[in-house]
Amino acid sequence: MQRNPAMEQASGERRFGLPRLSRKVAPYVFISPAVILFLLFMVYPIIYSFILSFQKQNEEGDLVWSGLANYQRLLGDSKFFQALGNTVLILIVQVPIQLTLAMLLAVWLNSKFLRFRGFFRAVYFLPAITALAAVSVIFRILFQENQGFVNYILSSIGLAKINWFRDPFWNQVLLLMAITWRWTGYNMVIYLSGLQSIPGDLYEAAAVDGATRSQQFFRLTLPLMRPVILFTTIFSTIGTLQIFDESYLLTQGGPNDATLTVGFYLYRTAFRQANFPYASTIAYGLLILIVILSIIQFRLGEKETQ
Amino acid sequence: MHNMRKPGLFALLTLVVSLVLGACGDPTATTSPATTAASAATTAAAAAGAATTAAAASGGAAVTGNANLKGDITVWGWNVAAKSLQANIEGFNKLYPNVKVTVPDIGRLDVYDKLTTGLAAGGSGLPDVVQVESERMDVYTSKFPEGFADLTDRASKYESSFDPSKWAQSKSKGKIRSIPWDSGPTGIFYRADMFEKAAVDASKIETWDDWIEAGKKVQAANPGVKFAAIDFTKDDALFRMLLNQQGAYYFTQDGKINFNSPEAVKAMTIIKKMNDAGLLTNVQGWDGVVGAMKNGQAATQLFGVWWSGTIQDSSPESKGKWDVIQMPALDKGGNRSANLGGSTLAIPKTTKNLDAAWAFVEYCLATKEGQNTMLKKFGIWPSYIPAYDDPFYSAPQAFFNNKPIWQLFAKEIPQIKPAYYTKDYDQALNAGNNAQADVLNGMDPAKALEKAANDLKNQTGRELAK
Repeated sequence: MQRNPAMEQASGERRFGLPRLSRKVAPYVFISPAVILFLLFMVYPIIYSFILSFQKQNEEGDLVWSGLANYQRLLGDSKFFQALGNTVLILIVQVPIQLTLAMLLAVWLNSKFLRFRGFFRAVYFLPAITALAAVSVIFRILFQENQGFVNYILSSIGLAKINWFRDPFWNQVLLLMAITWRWTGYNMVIYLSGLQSIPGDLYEAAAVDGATRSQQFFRLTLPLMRPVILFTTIFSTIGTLQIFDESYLLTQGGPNDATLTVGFYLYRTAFRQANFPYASTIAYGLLILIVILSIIQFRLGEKETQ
Repeated sequence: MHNMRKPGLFALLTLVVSLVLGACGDPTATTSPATTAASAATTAAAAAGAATTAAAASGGAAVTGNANLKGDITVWGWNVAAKSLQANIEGFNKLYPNVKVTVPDIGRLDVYDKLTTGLAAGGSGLPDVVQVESERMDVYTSKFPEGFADLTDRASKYESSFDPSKWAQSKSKGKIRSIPWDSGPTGIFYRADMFEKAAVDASKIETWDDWIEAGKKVQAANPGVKFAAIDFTKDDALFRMLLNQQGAYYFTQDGKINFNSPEAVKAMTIIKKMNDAGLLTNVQGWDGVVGAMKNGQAATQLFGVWWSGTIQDSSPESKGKWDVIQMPALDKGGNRSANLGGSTLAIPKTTKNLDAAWAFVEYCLATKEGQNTMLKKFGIWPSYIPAYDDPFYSAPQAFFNNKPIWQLFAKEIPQIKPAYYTKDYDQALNAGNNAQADVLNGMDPAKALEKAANDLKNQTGRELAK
């Protein structure tokens, strides 16, 4: 390779008037912006909210230590457990539905004989990148009690209209549908990339051995996809436990708090009631649950992989 | 065990960051009817003519102005409230030519989120003046007792000039922390044309039972029309007005939970009766209520006076079709006044320009000129009683069946009973919404209210009133 005299010259001199960095220091300088931001906006809030969770405000408005009082309150807080119950219900019902759907779609879109594959992929992924505020408005209009499109369809095929926003059960169904609509495509894309990393000759070999399509799916695809499935399960679990937007924007907590999630309850406590210490406690209560669930899922996944 | 760390740490980060930091509210998401957001009452501004004036207490020193007062101040408000303050800058600068006022229009929930975080951070990043709804003042004064400047020395002289129910809400531990801005005396806005079709004379309606009977007739004569539209699950404004009418509210004066009171049961029972008679239609939120009004789906709406502005703004084509009566009484001859909504202006303690901030608040809220500019241009009803001493208040309004409807609201002001919001207002509001949702889903009112009361007790640690 020919040497560029200009470059050679420049490398020997100071550029932009800055001192030359030694090889030891340079990497740290390069990562410092990210690290500083990380410390400032992630580590500091994590530590501070942890401290806050052991404090309360006295009559003068000053923060004072209150020991475990907030955690004690959390354990006796019926609203927190109602919100947690709602959230766990979403988790148990919605995550399996969503991941199954995502897997089926991914397998379908991965098939060689499908035309307009790119189009379908884009269509299914679109909800994940759509502005949620807009989505919520559209959903609210579609599911209106009296003039909504969905109820119009239901009544025109002879079914009874559903009070989507008034009936606690159907309000939960509405929330589940909205979350599934939004996140299925996202998981589908992850599965799709997983599927594409499975070598095609495995399937050819299986076909030669006489395996049917469903045998290929259950004996080949699923075992090979296990790490990816584990990843999406953990992410969906964490995401669902933290779910806030849909509860806040679409159902606003629902009739009698039927779709109040822990995230929305936390927001209400912090920003509507100005109670930051207790809101931090809720966050840590939820954190403990998420960590426990993630560990369980991880262990299960690891065991089965081995 | 080594790779265990990853999901754990990740979970920790995503959770705390997205929940604690990322929860920045969406300003457009929810609009409660109980805001001061009244819209432009433009046609009303054209009214003129001499007539007797409504109840007007004298008092309050005249604001003379001061050219030596200098500085820049920023005022946070939202929607028409912010616009009405902007409309006052010109008049203010005639008296205080060297104070520069900026009023950015910030979304209502954004103001609250920013105010909450600003006060929690010891007042950093806050403006010189901020709009706060009266019902939310206690939330802030209890969590941040010294967050707002103590205005007692400057404002005490105005006490007799303001709507007494509003003044009480501006006080915290005996100190004045904000100045009442607007009130929300209530009235039932009804479609005179639909009532006429049913041959119902609204002026003869005296009690809630009369009202329900009238509703059946109006619905029978106007197919497809419902008597009233409310959000069944997310706005208990009707419940609150019915409580306030009876001199009760979510809490008693000494801060006990009042959901299980006889007044609350009576209020919820009236709502249930209206629903059982088929008079209510369920709509979603503020937009739903406005839509039902505009489309003529609902024949009536019980709200604060600020609703007049919204009707004129969103449904100019319905001009002349509306009229207003006071809300019916529970028993013949009983109280027919209540309040819904209304704001205050407060001055964060960290302001560097207390004198200028006060001068602006005083001009806007404690002068006839300041208050009436806001009423005439934006339908914001003064809490400052001397303002009613203006021919505008007794003039007939073309939009409202040529009736002098402002008189009705002015007369109501002195009869409005105080409402006790407390620092736990937000929890109580949710409990009220839940109780209403339960009742409208078929639960017995006393049972639903008992449940709400216990729920609130669990969350706030407060005692029940009985």
